Amino acid sequence: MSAFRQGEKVLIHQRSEDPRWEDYMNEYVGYKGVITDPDRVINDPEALVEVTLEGIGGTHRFPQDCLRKLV
Amino acid sequence: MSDYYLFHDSAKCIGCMSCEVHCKENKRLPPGPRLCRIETIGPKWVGNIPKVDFVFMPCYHCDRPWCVAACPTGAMQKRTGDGIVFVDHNLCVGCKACMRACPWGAPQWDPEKGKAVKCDYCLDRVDQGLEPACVAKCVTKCLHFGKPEEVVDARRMRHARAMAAMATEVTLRQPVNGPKAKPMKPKRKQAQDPVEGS
Amino acid sequence: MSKPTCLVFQTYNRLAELIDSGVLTHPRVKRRAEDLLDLLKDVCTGSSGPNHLQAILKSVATILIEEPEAFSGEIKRIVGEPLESHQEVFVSHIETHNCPTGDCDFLTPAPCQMACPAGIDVASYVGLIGEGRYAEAVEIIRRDNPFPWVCGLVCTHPCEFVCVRGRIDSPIAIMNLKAFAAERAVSERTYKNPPKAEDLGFKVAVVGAGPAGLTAAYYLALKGYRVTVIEALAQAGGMMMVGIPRYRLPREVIDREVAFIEELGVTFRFNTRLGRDTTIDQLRSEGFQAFFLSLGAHAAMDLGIKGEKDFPQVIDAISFLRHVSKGERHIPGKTAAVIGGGNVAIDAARSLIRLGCEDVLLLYRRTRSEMPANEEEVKQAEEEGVRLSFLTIPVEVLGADGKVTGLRCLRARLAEPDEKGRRRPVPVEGSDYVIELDAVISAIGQRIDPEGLDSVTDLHWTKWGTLIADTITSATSAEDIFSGGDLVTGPATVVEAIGAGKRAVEGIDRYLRGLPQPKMPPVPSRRMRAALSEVPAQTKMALRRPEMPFLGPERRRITFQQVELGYDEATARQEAKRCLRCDICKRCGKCVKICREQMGIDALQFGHVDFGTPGLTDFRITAERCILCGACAANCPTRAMTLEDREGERVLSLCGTVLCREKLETCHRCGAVVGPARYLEYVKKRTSAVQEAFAGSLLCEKCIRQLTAQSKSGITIP
Repeated sequence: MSAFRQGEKVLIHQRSEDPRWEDYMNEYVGYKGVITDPDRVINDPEALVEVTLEGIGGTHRFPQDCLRKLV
Repeated sequence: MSDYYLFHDSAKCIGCMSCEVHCKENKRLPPGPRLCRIETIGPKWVGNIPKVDFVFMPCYHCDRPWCVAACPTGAMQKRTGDGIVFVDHNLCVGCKACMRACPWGAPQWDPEKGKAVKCDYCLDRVDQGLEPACVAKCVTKCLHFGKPEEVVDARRMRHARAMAAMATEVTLRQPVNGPKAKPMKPKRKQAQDPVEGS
Repeated sequence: MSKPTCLVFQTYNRLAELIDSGVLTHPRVKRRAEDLLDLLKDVCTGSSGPNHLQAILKSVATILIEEPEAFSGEIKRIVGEPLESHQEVFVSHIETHNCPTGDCDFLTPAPCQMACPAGIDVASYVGLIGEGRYAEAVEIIRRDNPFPWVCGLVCTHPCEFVCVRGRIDSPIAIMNLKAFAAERAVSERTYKNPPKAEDLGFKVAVVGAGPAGLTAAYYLALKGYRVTVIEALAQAGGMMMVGIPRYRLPREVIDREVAFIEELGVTFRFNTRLGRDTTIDQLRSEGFQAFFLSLGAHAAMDLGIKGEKDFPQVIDAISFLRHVSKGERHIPGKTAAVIGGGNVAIDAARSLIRLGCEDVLLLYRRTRSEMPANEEEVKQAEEEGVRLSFLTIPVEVLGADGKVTGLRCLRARLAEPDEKGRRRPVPVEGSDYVIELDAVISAIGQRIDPEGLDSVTDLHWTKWGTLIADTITSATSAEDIFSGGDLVTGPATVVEAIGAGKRAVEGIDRYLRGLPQPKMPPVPSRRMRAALSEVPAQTKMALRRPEMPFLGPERRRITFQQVELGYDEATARQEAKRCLRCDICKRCGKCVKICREQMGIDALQFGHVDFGTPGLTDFRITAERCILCGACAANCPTRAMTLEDREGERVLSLCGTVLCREKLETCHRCGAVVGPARYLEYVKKRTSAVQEAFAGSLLCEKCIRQLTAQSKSGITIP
């Protein structure tokens, strides 16, 4: 998977089943953001990626399956 | 003009500013804006006596108000029905055009709200059948409010009484007539002193 | 997604409504309620101090105890209950002066600060840099990040991705400005540690001297703890020291900033690996009462291809970079390939060039547009002579006599996007070919090296080999052990590690003092309201983000000298002045709406205030249309928009950007300020239908009233 790049716009489109998804992240579902640190473990869909959320969402590491790229 | 008449009998006024205080208290205004004002004219020496005149200046609720014309947002309005000119604070954005436009300086600035405020004859009180705050709390009862035809013109009455009491020169500027009133002394109508008037 | 509401703001409003409703008829109750409202207002507007919470609690208690229940019941419901159930929100408002919901106007944070994993008050320090106050800027940064210089050189700068100026042209060069300020402050010897709190006597051990551990050590030491840092390597810095090549981050920079941490009395035990040279139990017996585990992700992922383990010239990038940073200057081979497309791969390739490899090839299995590495660095690598080969999948390392001779690869093509939009590289049948080379560096990822950690019992791990620790408190399953950084998140960025270190200090501090732990994640603190630099609208629009000057590629190929040369002072200060100061202007758009819809003037073109669909922003248009009525300023909830009379002019500015200025006309009678001509003209035009009262002469409000009063008075003034 990977293929996230720095600066790409993403949407937190769903909650993740990944155990590293934390409760506080629930409120971010529906937020848009920018990939600020993509998966460094290349092609590992299980790596967390850093997303900076728009507005006052902050910067967090999310599991990749909750992210969808926006064009 | 509005349907109301606010009469100030300056002869009875002692400049205590109760009207201003109660106006501000009623409207909960911060320091700064004064919706009605006692303007002090003088002192002026009349012979050896310093004379001060107090002029009460509320809003005159003009027939064709400058402030309403100047207001770009429609906040400044003339109430249909009784012609009271008032500000709708939901519409006022604080451009101060009304303040600039009014030739009497009636609209004032509320620095806390950032909006114009002005005398509206306390229309909420008026609607309840009460007098405006300034009138209600006037210490010397020199302010009178009501329909023009209802307001007793103290000046005319005083003039008439004075005429009846003594057949001598009277002015509009004499103290209150009544049991405790001092005997009136004739006085020149013009306070102008030719000696000091230069 | 419903917008979260601020509980403090809500409480304030409810109490204000209660007072306004006139229910509180008793004068003393009303007075007390108003006093309480004032305290709450301070909390909402950022003017609250450390005693505010106590004062509020006392005020509520007094009302509850002393006043009749008819009134106090309401106050209990409105103020008492939220204070009891969500006291931490009130505390956070008081301590951080930040309201992340944005309901409290003055406390709405700037997007850059919220984006920063360390929560640095970016807008304030950028403002200070614009004023040339570098030492103060560094002091502000170091309240949230003890490594301004390091981060100024290598941060992934999430702040810049959300920078509002980016919606107008390009984001502020926040990172470069930070480096500039830090460098200046160090050079001028004004880079100083803040005063340390009194010694608390507690001993805390930090394991791992990387950015997370050093940050924790710094803030713990400032709080008065006795900190010892245990480090497996021979020097401090962790991945910053052994993972980031010198041409990006000179070691002097790390050394300098680590020295400031050491200056606070933090002691280091180098060459000491947990589990081998010492254990947690041993440290416990030495008197350490809390531990912060901040080991990095220093182990490499395997390629999993044939021949990978058979030759010494097949090296993982992490080990390679570590050796180079330690001073190893031998090339692994004249022709080398780096496998991977991330930043580490680029770092390895560029290091190989600098060591003198004749041919450096970077192999990536997808195409350039999928490369996770930073674009700018890929470009620089190419300038230096790194060749990129895309859609290449290595399958076997070839060699003879214990030496690598080649790499067998397959061509790949990208498959059609699957349901999630991913395009997998698919090997092309029979496309295999051999690249002749004599060294292979693999850079396909890092992981945590579990060696030594198994000596710590009671810890819980994820299946990805990361340690489980609470996001808010950093606590692990072992009571006295806290953790953060790569060990918890997996390989991440320097600034995230710093943020984790800072968070952990709060958790450790509360643990050792026996205080209850917070229930919600920390909110960044607004450190100040820095003065606004005055900039003409023309300049604000015309300024462009300056290009970072680089060392020429011909020189870059032969030396590990720093590539970025840094801004000069004039450039840095100018760049800082491009900042829109989003810490002050919360971009609510009220001013624009009032000017356009209610005044009908439409003098404010602030397209950047709209998050969804940014429109055109042009500060210069205001001067053409504005009448300087001040309605925008009167309605600005944060005092970002100001209307000021000074030196015979009326000036409208937004966060220091001068939008419009005009000469003031004065009263013909007393000389008092009346207003600028264009405003007077506007009012005159609107009232033209009504007869003018004082035609011809321009009078101020006071003179008008005086003259009117005189004309009405029975006595006239000579």
